[in-house]
Order: sequence, then C-alpha cells, then structure tokens
Amino acid sequence: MSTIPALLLVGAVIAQAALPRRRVPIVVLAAALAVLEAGLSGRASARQIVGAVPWDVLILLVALGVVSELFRASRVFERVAVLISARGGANPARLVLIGAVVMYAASGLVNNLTAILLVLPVLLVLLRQVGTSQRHLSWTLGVILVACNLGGAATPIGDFPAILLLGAGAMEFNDYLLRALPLTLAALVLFLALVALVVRPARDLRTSPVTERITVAVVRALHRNLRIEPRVFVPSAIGLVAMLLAWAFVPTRLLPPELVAWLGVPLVALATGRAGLRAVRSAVDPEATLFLFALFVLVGAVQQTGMFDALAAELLALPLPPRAQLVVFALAAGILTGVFSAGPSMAALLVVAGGLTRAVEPDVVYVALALSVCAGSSLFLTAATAGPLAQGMIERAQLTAADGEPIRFAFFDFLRTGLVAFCVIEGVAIAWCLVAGG
Amino acid sequence: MPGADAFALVAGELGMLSAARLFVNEAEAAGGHGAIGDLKAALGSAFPVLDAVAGRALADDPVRAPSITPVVEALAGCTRVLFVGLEVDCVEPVARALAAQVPSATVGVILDMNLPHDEARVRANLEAVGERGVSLVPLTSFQRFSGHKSALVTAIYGTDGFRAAVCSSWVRIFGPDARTQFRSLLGWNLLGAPLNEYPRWLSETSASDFTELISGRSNAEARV
Repeated sequence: MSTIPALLLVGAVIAQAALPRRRVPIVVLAAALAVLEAGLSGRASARQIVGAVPWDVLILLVALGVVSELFRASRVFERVAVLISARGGANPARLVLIGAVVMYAASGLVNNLTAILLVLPVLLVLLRQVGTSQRHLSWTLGVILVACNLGGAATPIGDFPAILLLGAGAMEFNDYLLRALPLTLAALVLFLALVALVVRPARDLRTSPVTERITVAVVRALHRNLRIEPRVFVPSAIGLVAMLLAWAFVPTRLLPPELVAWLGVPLVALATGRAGLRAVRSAVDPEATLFLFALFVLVGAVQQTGMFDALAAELLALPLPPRAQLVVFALAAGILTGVFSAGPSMAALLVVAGGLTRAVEPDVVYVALALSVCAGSSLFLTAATAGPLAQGMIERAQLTAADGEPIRFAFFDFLRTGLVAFCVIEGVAIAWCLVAGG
Repeated sequence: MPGADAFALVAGELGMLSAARLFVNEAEAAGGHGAIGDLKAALGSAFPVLDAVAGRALADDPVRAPSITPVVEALAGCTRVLFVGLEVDCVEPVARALAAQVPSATVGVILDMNLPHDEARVRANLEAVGERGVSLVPLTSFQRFSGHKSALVTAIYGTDGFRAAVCSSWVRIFGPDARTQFRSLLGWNLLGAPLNEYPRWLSETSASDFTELISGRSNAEARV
C-alpha cells in the first residue's frame, strides 16, 4: 500500500491550517501530486480519480450558496434580528441568548458565513450602545459562533458536513433532519443553560433603563428604512419551501437531492430578476469550489490506496463492542476537526465512517460523525466556519470596554467558550453513540 | 449611560443633530430632566451638538425636527442636490419632498469621514428613501452633481452671523471653484445660537460661504 497520497493529504491539511491564506494553492498542488503518483504507480488514471469526485456535493453547495445570497438580498434575517432585538430589549444577559437562538435558526437555512454577515452587524450596534466588556463580548460572540455551528448541523442544508452526507447519498434528507435536529437542539439548550446559569457573561456589566431605552431606539433608527424585499423574498421562500418538500417527500431514486437544487435554484434565480443574477455571481466562489474539488481529489487518491478501508478495519478490530468503537471514532473525529477544520476532516472521515457502517447502523454512524465534526468546529476559533469572519468584523468595529480598553476577539478569547461547547456537543454525540449504537 | 463610542456611531449614521435629538428624547422619556442632565454631563463636552440639544431640552425649549419648507422652496428648480454631511432628519424629508415635486431630481450625500459608520447600512437606508433613493457620493466625486440646476446643502450647527460650525467635509469641498459650479450653496442653520462647547468633530467656516442661510427652527423664522 502506497503511503504517498496519505502523506500528501496530511501534509496539505496541516499546511493549509498553518497558512490559511495560501490554502488553495497548497491543496491544489498536493492534489495534483497525488494524481501524478497514482498515475505513475499505475493504480488509477487522472480521469478515474477526477471522475470519482462527488460533483453532486459541489452542485448542492453552489446551489445552496445562491439561496443564501438571495435571502441576504431579501434582508429577511436582518429585519428579523432588528425586530427581535427591539422587542427583546437591550439587556446584555438576554442578548447572548437571543443572539444564539437567532443564529441557530438562520444557520439551519443559510450558510454560516451569510448568517454571521447578516446578524452580527445588528448585534454589534446593540453591544456598542448597551456597553460591553472583554469577558461579555468573548462569551457573546463565542456562543453565537457555536449556535451557528449547531444550526448548520441541524439540517441537511445548513453546513458543509451535512450537505456532504446528503449529496454523497450517505443519508436521506428526512432521516438526517429527524435525528440531527433534536440532538443539536438538545446540545444548544444544554450549552445555553450552562452559559446562562454558570458562566453568566453579563455579570460584570451594569446597565440602566435609560441606556436600554436609548439602545432600542438606536437599533430601530439605524435600520429605519430597511424592509424585506418582497420581490426577492417571496420567490426565494417559495423556492426553498418547494425544494424542502421535494427533499423530504420525493424518493431520491426519482429525484436525487442535487437535482432538486439544480432544478430549483435556477428557477428561483430567474424569478427574482436582477437580484437572482447578482446572487449567482456572488455565490459561485471559485476559490471555495477549487479548494473542495482539490480536497475530494486528494481523498479519492488516498481511497485508491485502500488506506481508509484499512483504517476502518483497524477501528473494527479494536477489542471493544461496536458502540464503543463508534465512541472512539466520534472522539477522534471531533479532535481532528478541531485541528484541521470541518472541510478536510469530513471529506476524509466520511470514507472511514463507511467502513464502520458494517458494524453499526449507517444513520447512527453518520449522525455521530456530523455531531462530532460540529463539536470540533466549535473547539477553536480557527476551526469554526465563520470564526475568522467574526474576528475580522470585531476588529473593524473597534469596540471599547467601559474603562476605554480596546476589546478584541482572537484565538484565546474564544478558547474557553470553545472548550465548553466541545464538551457539550461531543458529550451529546457520545450519548447518541451509546444509546443508538447498540 | 451609553458611552462616547456609542454616540459617535449614531452621529456617523444619522448626523449630529438627529442623533442628539434621539438620545435626548429617549433619555427624557426614561428619566426626565435628570436623565438629560446626566447625558449632558457624560457626553456634552465631547459632542457639542448633543450638549446644545440637551441644554435646550433642560431649558424647556426642545430642538424639534427642522422645518423643510424653506429649504424645499430654496431648492425650487434644482434637479441635483448634494448634502454635505448627513442629517437624516433633514436629508430624508427633503429628498421625499423633492421627489414629489421633480421626479427626476437626484439627491446625494457626502458622509463625514471623521465619524465611525457602517457604510453598507447607511447606503441601504438611504437607497430606500422615496422612489429614486439617496445616493452616497465619495468626497472626490462631488463635481458629478455640479451644474446650473444644482445645489450644495450643509447643516450649520449654530452661527453668530460671521462664523458657522459645519461638518468637516464642507471645508474640504468649498472653494472658489465649487462656488461657480453650483447654482446655490445653502447653509441650513439647525441650532440658531452658537455652540457653548468647543466645536469638536466640526469645522468653522465663514457664513459668507453660503449663497443663502436658512433657519431650521420654524417656518416663521425661515429666511434669515
């Protein structure tokens, strides 16, 4: 068994984590070298490896990116965030919880980056008006990023790992939704309860009725003319509901999920006029698509060597009952995702998970994998899909604490939240393995 | 009480006077004159317009939303109007009134770059005003609005008749060339009396810069 493709995969994953700005050329070059090695060794041709790339997943990702962009253009989430903020008042303790619930709901429907881009500006206005501290901001932002990850894992269209499961045909839409939604919701409730009752991020903040009243008035005034765009929102909402119904009720052998998106999204884009055309241009991100393509090629090259099957066999050979083997796998998946981020980890681990399904029911394995990847994504700021974006937005906002000290949101500011979130979500994943894995 | 950062952002996105009126009105509703006094003490020296608006509210002579009638009258016949500095209590009603009178009229705003703001949010709010919206214009592109049916308008935050406190973008635009490129250069006096505090965030210019000074207080006092 050649170890070169595996070394190239691990090397590329480490290098892209260390040099995130150069991640695309690093992964593309490693993929090209892996294809070259496979060709020279006579194991597989470039055509075979590229042909095995899960194009259905890429179609789903691009199509859902267009839907996210259309919802952004419709201003619906921005409007909802403003309404909830205004109605919920400007209480710093409540802000954490409201922010988390809004982000969880938004991330289930649009990708995490779009959800953060829509909701965070409103939240930053609130934080600036009501006043914040380093501790309060670190926890508030941390909780929101974790809620974003949980929302993304709650539905099969929320984030890359779930989309990969749906697109690769590993799980049906309903099977995933019915299992992952309650589990992620349970993790969210547990996590928020811990934060609200034990951590109490707002305990060092003092506010007054005057401040709260001014804050609510400011949020309304700064978004006074922003309205939901019906010409964009109505066709997008109808299109998304129609696609959800098709994913939920039409058998995949008749209409596979990627074909539902492939048919639905161009129709919605045409129905929304100029906004639809702009959405198509903005959503097709060549860098992200190239990165994922190269990752799939790398994983495909390693798969040709039989290494993933060997890893799965090693896992199955552990002198443990199947549910304990699943726990080991889930823990490893969580930690690997924390270090290498969700995309590369999920692409490689899905193949190993396929081996485990010989001993444990497939849906149990895949949901445990999705939850563990979600836990790992929440462990470090660098692993969270929207982490670097949130970090950049906080830096640009130049918030200051009551004592005038500038507030930052960097790796170590997120770490405590990340550790608590990892333990809670991974705990739910392990409980799932133990209860359902028998 | 919200801090200086909080007020600066609101002033950057609404304008000094609009932000000050909002803060003072809400403080009064929540805590009466006591809360206005606290607000004035906390932020007045850093934000002179807020200080003036709070002072007037404490003297039971609150600063009300400016009357737009004299400005709309002064802009009669203009098809391009460029506001230098944002005051949403002025810009948005004027843009709506102009759109009703001259549907082809174009209204733009040059922001005050000294104040923090989220440009995307400001743009989204302004683009939703009336049928044509109000556009954000970069400082360097102000001449796009020039012409014999064009006007420059800026808010004046108090004047003694010789000197006028204006947003700092005005002094970067105003010059002999600007005077000849626009039909009218209107100064909209929103506060009347000069500021008590040092005009921080603002610039002082000569009242003679303007082809017309318009009072913002009421229709009766309209033309000075």
